[in-house]
Formats: sequence, structure tokens, C-alpha cells
Amino acid sequence: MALPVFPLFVRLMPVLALALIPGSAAALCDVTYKVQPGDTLFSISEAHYGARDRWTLIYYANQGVLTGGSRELEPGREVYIPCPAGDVAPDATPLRQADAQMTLLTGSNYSPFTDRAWPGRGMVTELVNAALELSPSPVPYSIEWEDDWSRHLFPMLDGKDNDMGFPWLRPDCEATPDNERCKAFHFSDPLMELPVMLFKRAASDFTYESDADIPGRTLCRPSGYFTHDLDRGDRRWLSGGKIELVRAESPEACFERLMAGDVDAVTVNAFLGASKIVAMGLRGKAVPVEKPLSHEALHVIISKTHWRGTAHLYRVNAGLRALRASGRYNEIVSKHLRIFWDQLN
Amino acid sequence: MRNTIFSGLLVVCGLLAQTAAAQTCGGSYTVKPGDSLSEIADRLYKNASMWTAIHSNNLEVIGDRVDTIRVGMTLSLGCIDGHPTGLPGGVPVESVAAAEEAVPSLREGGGTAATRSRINILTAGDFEPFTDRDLPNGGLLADVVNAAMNKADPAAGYAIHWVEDWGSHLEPLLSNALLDLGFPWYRPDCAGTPDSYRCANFMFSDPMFEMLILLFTRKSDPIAFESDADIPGRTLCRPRGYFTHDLDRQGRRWISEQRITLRRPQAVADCFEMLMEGEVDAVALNEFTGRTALRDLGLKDSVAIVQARPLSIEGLHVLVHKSHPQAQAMLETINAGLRGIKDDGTYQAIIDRHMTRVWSGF
Repeated sequence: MALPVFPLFVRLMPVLALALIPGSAAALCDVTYKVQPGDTLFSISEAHYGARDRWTLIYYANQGVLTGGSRELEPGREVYIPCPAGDVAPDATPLRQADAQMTLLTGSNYSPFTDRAWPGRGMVTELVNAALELSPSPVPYSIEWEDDWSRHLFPMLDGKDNDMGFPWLRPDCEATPDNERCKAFHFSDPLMELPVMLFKRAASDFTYESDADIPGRTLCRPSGYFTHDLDRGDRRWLSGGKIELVRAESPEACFERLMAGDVDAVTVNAFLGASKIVAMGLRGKAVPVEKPLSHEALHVIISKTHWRGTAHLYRVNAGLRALRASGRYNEIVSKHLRIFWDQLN
Repeated sequence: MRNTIFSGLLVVCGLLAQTAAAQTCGGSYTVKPGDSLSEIADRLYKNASMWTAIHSNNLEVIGDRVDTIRVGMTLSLGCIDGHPTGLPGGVPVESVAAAEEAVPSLREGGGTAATRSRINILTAGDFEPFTDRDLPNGGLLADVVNAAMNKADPAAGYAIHWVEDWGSHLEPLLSNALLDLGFPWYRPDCAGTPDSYRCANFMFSDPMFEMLILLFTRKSDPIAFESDADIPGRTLCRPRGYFTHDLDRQGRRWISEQRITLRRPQAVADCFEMLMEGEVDAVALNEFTGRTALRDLGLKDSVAIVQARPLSIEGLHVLVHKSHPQAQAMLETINAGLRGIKDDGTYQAIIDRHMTRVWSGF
């Protein structure tokens, strides 16, 4: 049997698109790329976008590939290289109504995720809006803003002043079921994953190729931030006394300790770290280690004693699934990633 | 206080308790060749004109057109005037008779005008954590209804009665106004299916609770539920007297088109027993009643819960029969009470108390 080899070959040729990213070189995008030995998300970003700091675009476009298990970039695996998004208008939100029966609680100063001053009031706000618009047996909703985050879980959401809250990290509830957040709240499926990075002095020889590189090091993470990723089953860096963890009072304080040489690395999420480095004038002096240390996810939460607890949560989860299936999820995330990096540069 | 609220409960249930191995009334009937509704009514109710009762009780199965019954179709026949007897899934004859006798006696036998005229509210147990006499304050929703009525404080007074046979509640107890209000009941999508039995015959209060209806399957042999297309051909179990509208709604005519086999034993535990013995593929229940049963029956490790894909989202309501002379006033009373306890924090305190216990139990 003669196979029509040539036409098949033509059809399989990837569609190469050259797009202009504002303020940078031409990009090679809307293609799939086979990971080579030694590649990192950063190096793939540089090869395709001409900039290492666009790596989160690839990270979020490949959540299905990178999530679960080690989320390592295995050579031979194919990753999708999206084009940076243009200006995508937010979807209509007919269900978002003043005096709606369902209210969601969030707060500002958490850009690019939630902030009233951010386009669309933040990436997560826009995702939550879009998901609720696609939810089964939909309920009109409104979003309320309380900038004092310390009041959100207790007493506001626990007391049902508002129905649901976002965005929240989920503790390791399987390991610590008595954690008050685990006991009091249900968590939705992840709204989005957050890569948690190590930031080092540019000149330092600190490396992170595998977990074996970490014991003996001194890390800084601001006080009040979660630590369960450092102490999970295969690490036990804290309970085993393997590392020294400095809990400075703020992300800025952590970066000051880093530059003073007191700590080997600051560990916060990629967005927070990148913003602080720019804000503190440390560009080129403090840099991310090009491999995420862990992955946290942001969730919608609802009190376990809410009269529609699991029903509301299902509305969010089903809406989120529909949003991902439609491709709209990726458009929203890409748009906000572009806005984020544009603002830093 | 509690004595007042639950008066009558012991009367009714005391009578029910004596009826163990008696003749049964009502139940399910499988349509045979040559049957018509009036023929079935004539044979089983001894009255051909009772076909309307069969029709209204089985609208979700038969649909609007009475000439569309088919051989093999399973009809649910309510117990009316002691007929029909001897069908599978019936209730003991004496229990209905007892309920019918006991309940009016609350009104007429008590002697005072207040007793006769008070608002009589009907519920039943085996519906944890919402209603069961073994639960604190009779369960979450008995607690809520009691608090709401207490808040509404109707001049006539009120009482909550337990008749432990859900299958007798809508017909005949509420349809004949033997009692005034019933709870907790799911409301079908009455905008989409105004002709369904519950929508056509009952009015519903504001919702008191909302939750997911889930499939519970064997862990060793789970059925896939990626989409509705996975369900036709399956055998599901749901206790008798429970709703079925979620299995027979727009775009999902599993019952009326006989796409599934629905088994309807008396108790929740029976469904899980049938599941473990392989007689049914899944039990279709609300998540709380299902999870409570798994805990109590020690089946947590043997049963998988399809949490990510519910059959539906359902609210629980108080209902009143449309033929009740004070139907509208009754609804306004319970709704005013519900608003009152929501505003003053009582409602949330009740939900907190019960749900904290419920989730810590899971």
C-alpha cells in the first residue's frame, strides 16, 4: 500500500508564526517544541521569545504537561510555545450584579492576581468571573473588596459575611488535617498554579539542580508565609533540621538579607520575587534560580458550614473546567502575564 | 418546649411500630400487555376513575399523554383508601391507617381550639443529617424549621410530626390536608417542567439548604460517569419516596424513556447493601445522606464517591399542597420565619452546629 508521504509531511509541518512582542525581539511562537537535554523553561523562553523572563507563558500554557509528579522538563517531551496575547477584552459578566445573593470576598495589593487597580481587577478575579459565568445552575454574584487580608478567613468567611473567598493557598491538609484552614474550609480545584522560586545573588554559586542541593543552605521566606513545601514527605528540611530558615518580616527584608550575604536564597513565588527585585532596584543583582522549588495553587474557598458549601464549590469547579476546555482560560492568563512583564520592563 | 413541638410524634410512631409483618398498601406496579390506566385503576383501586391519581403520581414516568404507557413501565401507586394491596415496595396497611387516624386526632381529639387549628408539619427520619429523630433536635432541617416556626410565631401554634414513611407524605397525607406542611423536599425545575407531579401539585418555600446529588459506586468495580451518555443501561438505586426528577429532566429522560433501571427499596442502607452485592451499579443520593450511610455502615473504603460530577444541584424546601385552603398563608409564615432566623443569626448558628458535627464525622 502506497502511503501519500508527501502530503502528510506538509500537513504535519507546524504553523510557524512570527509575532512582535512589545519592546522585544521577534518571537517564534504558536509551535510545539521538543525539549532537549539541558533545557529549562528559561532557556526555551529565550530561544523563542528572545527573553528569559517570559518563561511563565510557557509554564502556564503547559500546565497539563508540567503539573502532576515532578513537573520536570524531560527531554523528548513536547511543550507548546504560545504567542504572547494581545489585548483581549474581558468577557461580559451578566451574572455579576449589585446586591447579588452570592458575594465573593477578595482584596487588593496582590497583583497580578487580585488588585482593583490592575486591568480586569487582576488575573484571578477575571478567571473567577469567567468561571462563574459558565457555571451550572448559575447564581448571580458580586465581588467585594476588603484590603485587610487578615480579616478574610476569620471572621468574615468563617462567619459567612461573604459566601466565598479567593485567592487562597491550600495547606497540605492530608498531612495536617487539624490546620484551622483545612478544618474550616473547602477548597476549589486550583484556579492557577504558582511556581515558587529561589532567588539568589547573581554572583553567587548557589545552584538548585535537585533537592540534594538544598540541605545545609540558609533560605529566607517572609514570616506568615506557608512553609509546608519545605517540609513535605520527601524533604523534611525543617523538621529534620536540614536547612536554616530565616523568617524576615517582609519580602523586602528577605531580599535585603540576601544582598547582605546573610542567606543563600530568598524563596517566594515567581511573581512576587520579580516585582520586588524591580521595585528594590536589584535587577541583575538578584536573579531567579531557573528551576521552580515547588508549586503552590490558588483556590476559591468556602466555609464547610455554609448552607450551599459544596454546591457553590461545584459551580466554581465546573465553570473552571468549561473555561479551560474553551481555551478562554489560556487567553486570560496569557493576557495578564504580558501585562505583568510589560509593567516590570 | 420540646414536648410541645414533638407532641404527636409518639402517638403516630407508637402506632407504626406495631405493624411489622402486616399486609402492605401501595407500591410499584409493572405495566402488563393490554393494560390501560383506567383498567389498572379499576383492578387495583376498584375504581376506574382513579386513573387520574395514577397519572398524577407518575407524571415523570408517563408524561402528559395517558395513552403512552408501555409494557414493562414501572408505576408508583400511592396508598389510597387501603388500596392497592400486595404490591412490592408497599407500606404496611396499618401504618397509613394509623397515620390517617392519628394525625386528625391531633386536631379533633385534643379538645382545645388551639390544638385543632395549629399548623401541623410533617417529616420523617432516615434522612441524616437533615431529619432523624435520633439526631440532636431531630437533625439540621428539623432544627431549622422548628426555629423558623418559633420565630414566625403563628397565632394558631404549630407542631412537627414524624411519620416514618416518606412514601405516604405527599400522597395521601399532604394531598388530603391531613397535615399542613411537609419538609424537607427537593423542588424540580418547575420553570422547565411545570407539569411534573411536584410542580403541578405543590408550592415550595424558600430553600433551606443546597447540596449535590452524587453517584456512589463500588470501588472495586466503579462505573464511569464522564457524561450523561455513561448512564443509560445502568441500574441505579434510590430509596422509595425519594425524588426522581433529577433522573428525568430535560435532555436526560432516563426514566420515562426507560434508559435505566431504578431500584427503590425502603431504606438508604438497603441501597448500599444492593450496591455491595452487585445488584445495582450505583446509589444516587445527596452527598450528606450518602456519606453518613457510608460512615455508619462501615463502607468508606469500599465505596467511591463521584464528587467531581454530580447528577444535580438540589435545594431542600418546605412544601404545601396547592389544594390546601391556606396554602399561600402557610408559605408566607414559613418564609417569614426563615427570613427572621437568617437575619438574627439563628439559622447560621444551627447550620454551624450541625455541619461542624457532620464534617468532623466524615
